[in-house]
Amino acid sequence: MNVQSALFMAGFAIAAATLYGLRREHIRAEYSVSWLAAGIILAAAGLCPGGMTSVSAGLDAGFGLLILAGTLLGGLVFWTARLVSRLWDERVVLAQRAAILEFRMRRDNRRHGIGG
Amino acid sequence: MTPYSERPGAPRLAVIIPALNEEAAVGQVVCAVNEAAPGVPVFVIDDRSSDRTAMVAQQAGAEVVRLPVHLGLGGCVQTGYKLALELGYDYVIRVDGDGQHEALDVPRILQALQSTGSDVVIGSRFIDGKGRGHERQTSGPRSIGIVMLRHLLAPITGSPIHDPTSGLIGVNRRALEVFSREFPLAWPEIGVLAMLRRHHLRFHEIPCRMYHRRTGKSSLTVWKSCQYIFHVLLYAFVHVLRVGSAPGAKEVNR
Repeated sequence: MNVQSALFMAGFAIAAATLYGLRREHIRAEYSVSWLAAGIILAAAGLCPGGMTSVSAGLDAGFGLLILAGTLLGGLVFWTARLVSRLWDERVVLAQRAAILEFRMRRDNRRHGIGG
Repeated sequence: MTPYSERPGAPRLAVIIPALNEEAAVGQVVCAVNEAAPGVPVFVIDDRSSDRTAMVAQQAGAEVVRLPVHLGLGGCVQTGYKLALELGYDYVIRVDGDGQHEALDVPRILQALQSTGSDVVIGSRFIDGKGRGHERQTSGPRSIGIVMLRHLLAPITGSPIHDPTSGLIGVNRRALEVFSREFPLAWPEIGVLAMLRRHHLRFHEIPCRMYHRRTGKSSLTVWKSCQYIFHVLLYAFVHVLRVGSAPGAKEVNR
């Protein structure tokens, strides 16, 4: 498998994972745009041999390795983004829970004449 | 006038007002709602205002829920829905805290919720009493934007929606349960419209009046309008993607 095929497959995998995450509601719609764009650009770069050749000409011989490392790093960042999405959601849920509990405690205290 | 809560067979109705730095207008809004719908509890959800919004609202007779961190409009509105669901309300009407909405429309929205059996009732600036569309209350460029939004949203909602950006929205208990579980944090108005069909929620629009902001400036700029269109397209795409998947397969926002 050459570098371009790997790049195309990596781009395709990122786009597919993003779409799957969106469908299953693992990733928020707002956060998915940049990942979809990254996946599409990577896949397009993999399909465009002329562009890749000119980019590789300006880099060292270890270009394939660089692509592989970049893909792995991309995967790691994608996983982190999903984690951040989940943490963000949990932060919202916690903040809402805290606000509602505090409101109900204040209201109960007021009813029972406790505190201000 | 007999307070709503004391009328025989009165539905359990609450009004929620999301507010961020609205000290100049929120007091009048609370008073106006109390006059239009006496006895109906008004909950102001304060999204970490840096001014005296919470104090002014409380003095005007509202019950104030203070968020510990700034969550934005979506998180703020959903807090109100969650609270109303916990407290056992059957109907919740959301009114903006900037004084743009007419408080007298609150009882009309409740009536529409009950008489039409719809899950969601939207107060629309752009329909007349016969349900026909018009753009009398807005400027030329905005009218074009709204017409565009209308066409973009029609395939998502299944029928045309005349005022997709309205913040005057009433929901019944069924919609309340759905929105308490899942609610868009960014651009909640369009996000909610995208959710309606997926969750089989019926909506209805009634004509409502809307005033210019009493204080401050609208946050809607050309850049924000472009973002708005972009988000409509995004939600349309997500809607198509999720058709066929079980709603609430994962409760992202419990």
